[in-house]
Amino acid sequence: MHFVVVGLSHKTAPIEVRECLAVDSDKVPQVLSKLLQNGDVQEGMLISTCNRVEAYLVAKHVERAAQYASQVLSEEGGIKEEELSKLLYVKNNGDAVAHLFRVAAGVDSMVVGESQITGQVKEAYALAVENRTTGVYLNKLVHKALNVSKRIRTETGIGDHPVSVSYAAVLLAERIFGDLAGKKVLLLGAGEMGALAAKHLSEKKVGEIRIANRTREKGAELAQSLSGTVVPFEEFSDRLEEVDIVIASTAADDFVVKEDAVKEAMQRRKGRPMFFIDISVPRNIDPAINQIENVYLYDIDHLKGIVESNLKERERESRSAEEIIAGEVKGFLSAVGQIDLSPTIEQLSKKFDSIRKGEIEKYFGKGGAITPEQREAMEGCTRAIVNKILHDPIILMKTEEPQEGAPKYSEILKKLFKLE
Amino acid sequence: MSITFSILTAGFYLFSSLGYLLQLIFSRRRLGLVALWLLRLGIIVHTVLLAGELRRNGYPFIVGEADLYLCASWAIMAVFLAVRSRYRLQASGALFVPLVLLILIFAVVRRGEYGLAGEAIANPWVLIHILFMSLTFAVFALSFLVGITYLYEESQLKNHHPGRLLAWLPSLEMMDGIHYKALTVGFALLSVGIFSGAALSKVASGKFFSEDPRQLVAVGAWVLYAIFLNVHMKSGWRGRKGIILSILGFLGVIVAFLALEHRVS
Repeated sequence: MHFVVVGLSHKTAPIEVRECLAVDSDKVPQVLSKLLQNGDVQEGMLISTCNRVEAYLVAKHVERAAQYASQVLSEEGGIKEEELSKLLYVKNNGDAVAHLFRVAAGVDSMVVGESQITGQVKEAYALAVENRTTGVYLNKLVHKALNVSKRIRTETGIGDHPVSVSYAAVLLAERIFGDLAGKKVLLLGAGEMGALAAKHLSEKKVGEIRIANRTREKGAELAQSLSGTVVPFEEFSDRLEEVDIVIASTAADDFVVKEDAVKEAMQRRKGRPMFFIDISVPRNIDPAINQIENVYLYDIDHLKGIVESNLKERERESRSAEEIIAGEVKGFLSAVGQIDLSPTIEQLSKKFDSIRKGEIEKYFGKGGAITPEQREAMEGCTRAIVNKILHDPIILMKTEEPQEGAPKYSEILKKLFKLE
Repeated sequence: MSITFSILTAGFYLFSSLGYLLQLIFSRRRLGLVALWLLRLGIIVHTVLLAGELRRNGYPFIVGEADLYLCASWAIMAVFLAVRSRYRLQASGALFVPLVLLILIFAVVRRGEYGLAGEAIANPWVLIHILFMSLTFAVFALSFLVGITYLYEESQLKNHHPGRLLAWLPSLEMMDGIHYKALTVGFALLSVGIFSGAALSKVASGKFFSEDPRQLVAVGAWVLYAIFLNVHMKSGWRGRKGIILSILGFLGVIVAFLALEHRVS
């Protein structure tokens, strides 16, 4: 029994190939059943996202199963097998297990530490369970992978630092104001990124979102989706002191928010802090306002700088994640090894016991030769002999690994005692 | 003072300080938890030390300057433990614990006795005065340390370099709030402290107000804080400038207090 993964990801294949190979969720059952048609493949699961397509298999023979899987993928994606094979990676056993652990925790993702992938692994597994293509091994593997992913998220800072510009802005607002509940937000312009930042803010239960846009209809549309109110664009700066957070993303090519207006607003606010987020290019907010006491201004470059350093921080955290994964893979493989052993142990015990019973029957079966008490003693004695003989080989099999390349102890035992 | 308990307390605080500092350097939450436990053990031993000292002194319990430091450092630790989780001040342990350690060392090194003799020393005003002055000091120290933290976070945000440390600190608005709340409470405590000090002076020298330098410092500080808080309330004055001013004020008062001695004439 071997774990095998065959697939490609953003690290090995360009988007054109990933597009072709991506399998819709309604077509997954078909591909899964095709994969399991091969006698070498016992269990299977297919993960297909925009960044990766991977078949996780439990197989009797690594090469044959991998060969067959790449054939299936090339047929499904309509790509020639020679071409595809250059982009595919095949990993088995420890490497395959570690790979799934990495994928599920977001360590292998394009944006390191993103958490969407964990959900996608869960979905892929649910589909496989639904189609009855999983068994003992895959069940154990996926559960462990999700477990490890959770452990990595709590023990490392891999998901801690925001890696999108709009979310980084929201976290900055929290650094200034703490709880954002009840804070008032003014959104200038209906640009996409500004709207996204406003959406993040509304999720933080801000008190009010005002939208000022040059074309009123578009502003009204956005106001509805954010459950905010529309204010006329010409008048926004009259009531600037009422808002705590200003997000600017208009198409204007000069400063819409001027220094004097902000100074005046700050006086009326009695110096309560204000946070300005300028996501527009060219900039819409006069950078000079950052000099005003208790006013904080971040433009798109500042935010991008934060995102970049956060990405680096996540890379650094992924190193501690790798350490956790290495430990977990070892533990998982030895746990799986135990499942592998139990049929052999059972067969071995059964064979010895049947020999024991057979011999007792042969000598004392006809009855009369010994009393029932004597027979009972004989049974106990022979059972103890069998157990004592088997004790050492079983312990050895459970606790020790044979040398590299040597056959497993269980295989040797099977051969020696003609089990199966 | 019991040497064993002093060393034990200082040891717990020293390792707790180290834990808090390392937590910030390596950003590992677990180090902070270890530091907190060391701190809790430290304050237990500190309490035993303080109680032993007070019992040994007998009525009216607090007699020398060492007792004042012992009380004040205990009060700072108690204030920190009381507010740390409510205001997300866990990371500020790296400031609080070393400060307390410093004061504790002071308590051992500076063993000045008050110039009170005979009947004056067996006076309940001594206890009340020192108790309230310790609390005043503890609460002002809170506002001071929160103020320093505020300045750090403010400059990081203003200069667009919000480091990873910020995730461990309270928000600017919250720290501004704690700072002024602490100043207000400290001001009330200081008022009682000064009043009881005057009463003590009356018993010792027959005058409510003598030319005692420390008394002058205290009254001067009271006037400054009164003006400061008044301006803050009226104009809503907040942010960096106000905090810098209050930090300088605190340092000035402490330096003056340590440089001068009580002189009861």
